[in-house]
Amino acid sequence: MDIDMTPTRSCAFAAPDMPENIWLSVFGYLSLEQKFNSAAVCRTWHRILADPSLYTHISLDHMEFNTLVLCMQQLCRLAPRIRSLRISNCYSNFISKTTVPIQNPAIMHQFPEQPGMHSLYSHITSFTLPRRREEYRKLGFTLHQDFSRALVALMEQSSGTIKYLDIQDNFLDLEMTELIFCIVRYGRNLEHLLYDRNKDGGFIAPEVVSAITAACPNIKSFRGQHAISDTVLRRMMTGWEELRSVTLAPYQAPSIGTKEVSMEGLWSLLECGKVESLELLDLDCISNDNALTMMQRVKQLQSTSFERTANSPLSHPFAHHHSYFATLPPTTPSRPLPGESVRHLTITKFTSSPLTLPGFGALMKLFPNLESFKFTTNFFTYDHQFQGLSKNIFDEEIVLVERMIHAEMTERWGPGLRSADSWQGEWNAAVTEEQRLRAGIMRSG
Amino acid sequence: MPVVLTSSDSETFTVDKEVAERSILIKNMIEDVGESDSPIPLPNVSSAVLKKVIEFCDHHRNDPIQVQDETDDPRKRSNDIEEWDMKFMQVDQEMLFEIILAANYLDIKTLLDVGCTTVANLIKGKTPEEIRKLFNIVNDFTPEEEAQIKKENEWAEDR
Repeated sequence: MDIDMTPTRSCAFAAPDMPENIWLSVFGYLSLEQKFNSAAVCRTWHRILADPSLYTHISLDHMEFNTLVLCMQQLCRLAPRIRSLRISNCYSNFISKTTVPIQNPAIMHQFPEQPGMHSLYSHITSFTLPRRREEYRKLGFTLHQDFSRALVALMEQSSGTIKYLDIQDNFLDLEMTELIFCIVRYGRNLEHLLYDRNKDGGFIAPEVVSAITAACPNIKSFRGQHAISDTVLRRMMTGWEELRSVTLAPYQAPSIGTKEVSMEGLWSLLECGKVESLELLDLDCISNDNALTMMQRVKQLQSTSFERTANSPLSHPFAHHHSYFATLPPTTPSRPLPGESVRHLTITKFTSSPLTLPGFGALMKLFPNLESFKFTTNFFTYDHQFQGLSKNIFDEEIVLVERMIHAEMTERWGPGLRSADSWQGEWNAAVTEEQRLRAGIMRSG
Repeated sequence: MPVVLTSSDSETFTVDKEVAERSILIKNMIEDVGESDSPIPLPNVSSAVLKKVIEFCDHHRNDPIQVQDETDDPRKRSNDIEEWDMKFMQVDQEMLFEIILAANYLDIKTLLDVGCTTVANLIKGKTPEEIRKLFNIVNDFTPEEEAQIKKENEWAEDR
């Protein structure tokens, strides 16, 4: 970098010979808005602030949709080589307040004379994609296209550098945009992809996840609630050699209803022996029974591998020549047992099968190297499944589980700080929307 | 063994070696020259500034030396300054910039970081006009350029 030691005429402050490289470091501590704002101070600053190195880590947070798009357009002009892009907590005033009539011919037919009775209204985001597209067009709302254009430009400029893409907690209608196209077209260097809690079903089709798997071979971490079926999971395991962190959750499959990976799918992921961080959100396949089944399989594998090593010399034609075996190279360590690679585990339980002490015990054995375990649930999960379960029994169960896990973690990591961090049990999480729906259905049924 | 430093205005300062070596420039000089009693001249640093720099290095003498980290994690960077450093940086603007220049020249990364963060925190939350006033900067944009920039920045202003 050129160090300009000559005092700039325009920026004549107390220390007139502040070199530009120092201003560059100062500007590095400013937020994106502050950078744009400071570029309006004088020509020298404007020039320094056009340096692409100031725009490698971009965080667009708490912005209204219109602001977000303008900001992205301004970024495009700087032609940055973005390494990480985060879009979070953004929202659209327009989308959140827009409702459109449900076109229901039956109702319209019944009240031909009363225009007010013609239609029921529903929030625009509750409609199918083609209908939404149509409605946005009718309302003249074009921000999705503007967003897409800006994102395509940014991602194209950054396709060689971008490793992190974080899109979370937005209230936008991102399914209307070219986000997935951008990931598939320009995301070949992506390593961390997080798309979560954006008021939609994540990457809602298994085909989408498959396409991402094929297009982004370097993914290490794939987070968010996406449509991951057994088939897709298998593709991920073969396509993403570096995959270390993944979220599995149920998803809505059109015409079939809710789907999720099976225990066999999860088992093959564990067999792979590479995943270190697992997030299992409300999966039915994480049950006491399945946890026990998987744990027993591991036990069996352990014993058969032991038997094999123990028995092979005896069945060998030179078994009686001990010196022969002593000269053989030591056997290469085999693949880790399923579950051994997992160090961080998150499980939530709201509408899926609950876990109790035997299940937790099996999980602790299944994951012998677990360093952190986060579990979130509430009483409803258990109450719903086990009729007549009292709060007392639930509370006693909590004590038993906590005691068992604490003892286990302490044995593994010692009584220090580490064991305090290692287990986080949240047993009284807020009742979820889905739980409420189920309760309503139960009561009316 | 102590090290003797000479400021631009010929004042000498005797400091512990581990304090002086917070400066990579001085550390390299000592390594190149070897153990020597002769003072190290610092023609770019005045005695007032050097005094402050030594105070900072003395306070941070036991800190681990920062390695240039090329962390890709975007969430690591923060504008938080330790309380002592913040108090240390409560000086007039001229001194602030002089300290930053000295830190840059002497290659003391932690001091440079604290200095730059302090300036950045001064900029935060101010309009371009307020920033000009603060640093005595002349607005040298043509009216057309200014209108153009204002238009581009419209979104940021009402936030």
